[in-house]
Amino acid sequence: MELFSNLLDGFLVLLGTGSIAWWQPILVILIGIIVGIFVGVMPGLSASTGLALIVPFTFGMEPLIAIILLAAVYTSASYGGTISAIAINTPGTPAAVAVTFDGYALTQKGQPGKALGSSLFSNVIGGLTGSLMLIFFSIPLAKIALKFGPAAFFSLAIFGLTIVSSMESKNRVKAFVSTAIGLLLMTVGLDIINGYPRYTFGYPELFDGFTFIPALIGLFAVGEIFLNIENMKIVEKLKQNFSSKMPDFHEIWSLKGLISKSALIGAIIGAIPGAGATIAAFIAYGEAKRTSKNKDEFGKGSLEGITAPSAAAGASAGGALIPLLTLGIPGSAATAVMIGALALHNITPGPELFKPENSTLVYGLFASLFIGNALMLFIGFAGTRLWVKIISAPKAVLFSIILSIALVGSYAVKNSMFDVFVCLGFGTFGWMLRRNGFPTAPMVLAMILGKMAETNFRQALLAEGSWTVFFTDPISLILIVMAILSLVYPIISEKIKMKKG
Amino acid sequence: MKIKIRLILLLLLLSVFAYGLDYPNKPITILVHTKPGGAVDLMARTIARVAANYCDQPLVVVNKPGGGGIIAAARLLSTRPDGHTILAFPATFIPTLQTTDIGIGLDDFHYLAGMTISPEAIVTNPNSDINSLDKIIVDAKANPGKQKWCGPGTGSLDHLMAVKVWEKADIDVKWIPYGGGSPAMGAVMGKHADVYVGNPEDILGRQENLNIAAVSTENRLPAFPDVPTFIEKGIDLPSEVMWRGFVLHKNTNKEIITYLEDLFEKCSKDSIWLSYVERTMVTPVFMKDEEFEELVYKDVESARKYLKIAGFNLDKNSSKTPFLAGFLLLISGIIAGIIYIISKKKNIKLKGTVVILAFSLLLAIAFYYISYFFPAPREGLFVGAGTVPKVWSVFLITASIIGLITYYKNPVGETTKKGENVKSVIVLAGLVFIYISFISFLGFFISTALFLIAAMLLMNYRNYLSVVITTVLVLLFMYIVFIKVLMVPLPLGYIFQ
Repeated sequence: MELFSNLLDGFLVLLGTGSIAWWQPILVILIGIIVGIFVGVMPGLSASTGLALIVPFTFGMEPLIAIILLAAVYTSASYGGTISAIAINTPGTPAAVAVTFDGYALTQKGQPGKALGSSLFSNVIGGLTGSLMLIFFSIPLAKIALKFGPAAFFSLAIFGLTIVSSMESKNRVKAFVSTAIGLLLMTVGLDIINGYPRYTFGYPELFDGFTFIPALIGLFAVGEIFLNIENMKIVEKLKQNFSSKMPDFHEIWSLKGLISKSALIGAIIGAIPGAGATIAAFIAYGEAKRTSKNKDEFGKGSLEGITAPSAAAGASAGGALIPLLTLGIPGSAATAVMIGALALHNITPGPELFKPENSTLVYGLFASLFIGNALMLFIGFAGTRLWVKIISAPKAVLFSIILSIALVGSYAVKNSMFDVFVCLGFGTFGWMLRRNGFPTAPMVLAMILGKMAETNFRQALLAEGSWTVFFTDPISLILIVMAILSLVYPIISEKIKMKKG
Repeated sequence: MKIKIRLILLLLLLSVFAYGLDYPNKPITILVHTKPGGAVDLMARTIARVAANYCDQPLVVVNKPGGGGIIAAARLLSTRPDGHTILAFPATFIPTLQTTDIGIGLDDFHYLAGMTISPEAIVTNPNSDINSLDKIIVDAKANPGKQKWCGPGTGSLDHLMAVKVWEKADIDVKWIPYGGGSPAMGAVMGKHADVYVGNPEDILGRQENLNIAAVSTENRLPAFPDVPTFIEKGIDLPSEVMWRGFVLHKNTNKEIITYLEDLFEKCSKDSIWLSYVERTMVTPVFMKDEEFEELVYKDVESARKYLKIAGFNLDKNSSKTPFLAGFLLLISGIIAGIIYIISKKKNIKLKGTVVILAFSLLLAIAFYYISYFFPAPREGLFVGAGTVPKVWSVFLITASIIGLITYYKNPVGETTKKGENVKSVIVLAGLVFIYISFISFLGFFISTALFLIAAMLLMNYRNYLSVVITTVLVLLFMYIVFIKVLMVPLPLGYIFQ
């Protein structure tokens, strides 16, 4: 019960009962959400860019106001990422890749409003779930997170990879080829264990491998534009009509079970440092497809396919705050920037943060997450019309703008021209793949998980000196069994269906 | 005539000196080798903020991550040595520059100012059985080769510190590299590793799960009075420090150096700087020129010795793979040619699917082949740098062969609907390529304007007014967002410099 009174105090502080004026928290949350959505929408800019940008402005602020602002930027970037995924098939954040499948398909059917609305709503529900988990279960979840050793991380990565099997039922072999290319490309760069430069051919630009964000922007944004231009009629006078109509309430309500399940998946996986929103979103998508009654609708604009990854991505932001606040361990680039920023305000995340003298700070932050999610719903709804208007612009104008922004975004990741060429290279390659029916999403998933799989595989073997570690570690064993099931289940269930049919 | 020319040359030379005295005449760039938000980045940003009060020109932090710092170092050395570019230089550069062979040496820099130092420490989990230096040594002697030490990376400063401790304490343990300090600390908290090597400030806020076993200082640290030093325990490591400072191109003019030394000395006494340093728990110092250089070179000697012990081959031989790649490309080109000729003769229409599958197959074979040249697993390990690339290559080879067989059985297959305008795509891709190539010459804004106009016209958009308005608006948007707000250093082009 102390928890509730603390939380109530947190709300009261934000509403101006303490030393802080009532308008300050609301104002910084609003600013934070707008900055967060903006960096999320823009390909190449990420939550960590947004945070690094806002840190200097927080120097003069009270610690509570600063932490609220940072949290608002961080949590709202995930919705921003899904906007560009749905509107122009360009995931603004890696986690939004899983939203492109059905979100963009629905946009192509002329209903971007419906797609954006259901993504927004599930993101907010996800965000609230993540915050609740953070408040009530942060201690047990942090304990689980610590149990993840190299063996378990390796198995989690493999489990994530097997989702390809259920994601692409039509072109399974092509999907596997795409996965394997992604895995192989991720071996370029300095070997993590002994520092040997692999496949770098003496270019220091390749020492860290292909920069992921330019590759992602290339595969999606640039590839998508090339594909569109190929299919464009010589004189395209016809403009597609996009509707900004939101989904009906009962359409969303009928998905309440799926949304809450995906949000739980997101919060739990988000709490494991290093796993993050992307795996959560993919696992939620795979799980939604596996349990769906309308499997055939997936990839064609299914609302289930939009809400599940959106809810998981939204919830994982709250989840990722768990190891950050309770253990002081950042699980991602963005939370690493947050920890540095908090240090400048004399706030050291970790167990001490939860001592009584800091309760205003912690519970003020928790309360702000609820207010932030509520405000995001309004800002998101108001923004939908704007996004729909933007994509209704003439294609030639839209594509030229997207191309130039994609290229600048690629540059901005590391301020490197090399990465701009990487973006173009992957774009051309992605176009060739997709025009021949090779899906590019498995490649992206492989690029995210490939490094995680290899690093942890070798760390586990180095630490234990034996192959059996992947089966003796209980978490790893469970994940391996799940991986096998997720790989084989869709194939077998199809075979059975074929026999019946 | 000749005298006149000489006079002009002399005047020119004098004006160069005058120019030097005029320093700084434009914003000073501080290069940082990490992404925004890291410890070095925050230090550079704080200095930039503080220095603005003592300098007529602003200092701007520019992040050039990549290659463990090589990209940023190469960037500094490629600029004019006019003092307008400074590199933030932490001690991690020492092992990095020694293990990478791309022609950058420590004598390419002028060591401008050392600003902070921090001792090295070894950290354990207080809830584990091994939670002090004595227990570490007893356990390591009892179970040789079993204890797990971890830290950020291989060949990193902390790795070298670990190797030093092992040598001085005469123990045999394992090194498990992690991608950074945080995941390594997480591993110790979760008891997946026994000892973490880092700096004392790393455990702040994490005291429930982490404790310092020993620090590499002469005397105990005031902030941690219960923590023993290595010397107390008979391990001779009294002065291992991680330092952070700033360097310049070595050819920088003396007067510029004096100006900057003065600037950084003022910064080192500024209250904002000192309060920042205090919060991050490092020790503020100010060392310039020879004093700083001495500290740097002291580390170089020991780094060489311990990198060798850690298994690094410092005598490089890296010319093999580029040749190999060229050879493989040639082979795959020939194979592709043969396939094409056969397909022409037998009148088989090559479908894109086959081409991509064949390409993947060749890619996989090339990766597999090159992986044989990677160093073999060290003694006692059965997995090396080449193992995982081999596994993925085999996966790709299998998948492509299955794909080819499937296609052979059912050549129609499934392909997405293809449009007519492949040519437009190729022209557009070419346009993008030219655009990117011209950015560094014409500058970002002019190239982007030309590109936008050309791209819209290429896509048969003929509303000229709208083309112009779009171009202007996009450029304005990028100027505000990228240059003004995000301070991304977009290239302005050689012809404008």
